[in-house]
Amino acid sequence: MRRLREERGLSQGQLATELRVSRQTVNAIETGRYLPSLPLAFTIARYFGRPLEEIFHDDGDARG
Amino acid sequence: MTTEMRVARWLVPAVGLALGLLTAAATLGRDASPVQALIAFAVVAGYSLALLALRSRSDVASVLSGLPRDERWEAINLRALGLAAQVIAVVLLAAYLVASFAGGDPTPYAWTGVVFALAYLGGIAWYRVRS
Repeated sequence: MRRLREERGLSQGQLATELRVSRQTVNAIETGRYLPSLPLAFTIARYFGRPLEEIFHDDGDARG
Repeated sequence: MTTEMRVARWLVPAVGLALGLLTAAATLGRDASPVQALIAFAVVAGYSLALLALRSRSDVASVLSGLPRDERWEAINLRALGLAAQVIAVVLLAAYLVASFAGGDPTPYAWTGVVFALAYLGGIAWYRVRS
């Protein structure tokens, strides 16, 4: 998710505003400390226009 | 954002002000001075008003106001409540035992423990049906 965010030139705060979550939550998702719920995961995938599996992997890290 | 613990936007400050008034009244009922009652009111009501002022800037204040900013903060709030409940349960049990062995009256701790247990079991029953 960090790579996708940086490709779009967004800061964590800007992405947080788009997703309607706190900046700390975006940071926690990017560092793998927090697994988003399915609704939020779908929201993230739709925002980036990518499949869910491309952003979130089985090991729980959002390395997209 | 949805949460079963969600409260109305103005409920926390309104409850804070009401509790502040009740605290002041209780203080006066103990034959304390009006100044002490005013201080008691200021502490309780001031806390609620501080949360109201800070919740748009602070995630922690937002949670304490009953309005977690997002799902992660909701999860943090629930885990913190669970931890606090476990601590209270241990403290209640310890207080009951200490009062019992010291020859004091453990009844208040026993009743509080009963309320705690009923609330917990009721919560299990309620959420088991709803989820």
